[in-house]
Amino acid sequence: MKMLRFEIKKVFSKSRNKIALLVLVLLLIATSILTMSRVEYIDTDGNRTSGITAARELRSEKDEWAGYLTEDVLAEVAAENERINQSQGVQSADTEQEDRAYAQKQGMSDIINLINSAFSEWRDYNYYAIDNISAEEAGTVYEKRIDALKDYLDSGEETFTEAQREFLVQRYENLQTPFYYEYMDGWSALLQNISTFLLMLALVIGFLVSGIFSEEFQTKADSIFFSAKLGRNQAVWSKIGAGFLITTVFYLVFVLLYTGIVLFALGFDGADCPIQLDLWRSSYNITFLQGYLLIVCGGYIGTLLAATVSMLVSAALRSTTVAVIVPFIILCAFPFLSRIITLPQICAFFPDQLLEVYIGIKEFGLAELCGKVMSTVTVIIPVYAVVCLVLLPALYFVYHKAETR
Amino acid sequence: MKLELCDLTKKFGDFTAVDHINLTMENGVYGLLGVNGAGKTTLMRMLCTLLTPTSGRVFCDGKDIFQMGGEYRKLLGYLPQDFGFYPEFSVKDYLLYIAAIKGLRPAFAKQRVRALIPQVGLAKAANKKMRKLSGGMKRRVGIAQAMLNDPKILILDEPTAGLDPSERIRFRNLISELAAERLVLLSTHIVSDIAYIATEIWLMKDGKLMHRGTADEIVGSMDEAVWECLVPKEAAADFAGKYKISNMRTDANGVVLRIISQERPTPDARRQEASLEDVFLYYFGKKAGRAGNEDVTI
Repeated sequence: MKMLRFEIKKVFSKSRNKIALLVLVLLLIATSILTMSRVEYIDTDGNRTSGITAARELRSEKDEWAGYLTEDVLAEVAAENERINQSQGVQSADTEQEDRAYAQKQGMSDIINLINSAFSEWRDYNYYAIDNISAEEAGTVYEKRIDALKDYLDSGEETFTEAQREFLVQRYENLQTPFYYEYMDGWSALLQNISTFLLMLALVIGFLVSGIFSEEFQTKADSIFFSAKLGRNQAVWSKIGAGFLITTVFYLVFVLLYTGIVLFALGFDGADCPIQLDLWRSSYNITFLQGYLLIVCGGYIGTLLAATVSMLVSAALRSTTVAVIVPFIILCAFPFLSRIITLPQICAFFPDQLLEVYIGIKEFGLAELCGKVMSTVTVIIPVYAVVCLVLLPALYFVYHKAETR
Repeated sequence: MKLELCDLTKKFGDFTAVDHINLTMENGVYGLLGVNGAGKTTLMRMLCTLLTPTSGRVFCDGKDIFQMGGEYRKLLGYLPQDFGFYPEFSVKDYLLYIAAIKGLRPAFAKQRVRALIPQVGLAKAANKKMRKLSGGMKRRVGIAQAMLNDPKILILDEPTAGLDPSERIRFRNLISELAAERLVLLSTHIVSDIAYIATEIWLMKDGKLMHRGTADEIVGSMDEAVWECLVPKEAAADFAGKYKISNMRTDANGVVLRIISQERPTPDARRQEASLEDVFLYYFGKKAGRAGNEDVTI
């Protein structure tokens, strides 16, 4: 414990790491503000607000529609939309009057989006789809969703195997309907912005741990370290423990801070709503809360992988400079590689995907192993978790055998 | 405590840094003398298990030190030539950390740190950051860390480098005290340090042990005599080219040379008693003379 404490102290006694921490706090503040500003509200006078006030107003309006989105509710929304469309404001050329008219639709905007998504082309979104359908048609969104998938699979635009097609249709058919709906803008904004924050967090954490092993050589403290009784066993584990602890604690603390700030400001409501309210085509039959946990879990494994590889490079090459670059390569260079290698089957398994779980949930990334079809997200998270577990003893082996000239 | 080196060899590619060394050490101070690149540090690093030998073995009380691992390192205290530390740690924290990796229990570690800090004269600097210490103070922290576990084997590589004359004397005395109940291997360029405290001196050249013995035995092993003579200033350079000069002093009448030679260099040259410094020059020749400007203090 004592050694672990000193290892952590070594990391945070360095000025560059103190600056990195400060940068992380600033990033947290900036990202939180940006996320909160995604929620907008227009009052009856046409004035726009965003953030906490907007969330409070929106919640009260949207919660009027809270409950299961049955055929009747969907038809009612379509009818109400039609009623507002006929009002003077919508017909008006005056932007202010148009905004006032839109303000009347805010409470049901999520349901309108749902109907628009259902009645849009596969890779398109028609903002006015709801205006062109009857109230009865609006009630068929769930059937439309399944039919649209089948049409897409039959279109020949994709390359799924028969097993994968069956898997997707089954997932679509298994989705519980009617959807439960309530105000969920907090979760929606959180999920849309969290990936960027997780990437920045992973890079800073990688930076923090990159010197844990190499600094012994760079400060020439290695001779005393390795000639000490525990220098080639427990002390090495303490370094690994410090790296693991810093990664885990910082990841959890900053993710919880970010989540807490955003949800306290925008509201915790909507955690149990299906993610399809936001990601209509998603094949993941999960709620916003489950989606959030999956994204956070993927982000953690991605951060841990970047940190572990960075520490391994730091131990093997004895260079902090090279080790610092490793998280950038793992998390930022692979997306560029994905653009060069136009093989989505391969690119979907690159480690950067761990921090893009939101995209993974949105898209149809599938993997087939021994005839069993799985979503790529559910494959890469455990696979890279195992890679991290394998790398930890490798890191110990590399460092405890180190010779000092 | 007995340390045996059996045919110990270390090669770096084609270069042989330590060449088939056979030695036995017991309690006492062993002084290792040699010019830069002689293999002293490589030898010490092998004894600290920091480098694995290319061939040969080292035994501690009959057991292979590399197989003993932590049990051997528990007996060890090491002060490397390039003493590295953690600049942002205070002296106290640094010593507590080293105590932890030496496997000392926290309560005992605190007790040792409290005792060692004043012993090395750092009582007022205990809470100072390591980066703010002077060269001599850092060296003293280095000595303190080596002593934390009360080692039975103490290996000191250039321990007096960077110390002022009074610190050097104090440190020499400290080593003498410590050597009573442990094995101390001391490498230095400062010949006088070894002359005062070493019970046995080893002369190392090109990875080989070329001579060993007490200071008197080493001095007695020299085949040539030591002379002192006064020569004109303009002739000094000729003498330096012709003889091994262990000292050169300019005065009003010319230059007083201390010459190592079998023959009398000038008719009025006076025979002098040989010292360890003369022996160093005798054995290491021009290499020692060259190094003299940089790192050999004779």
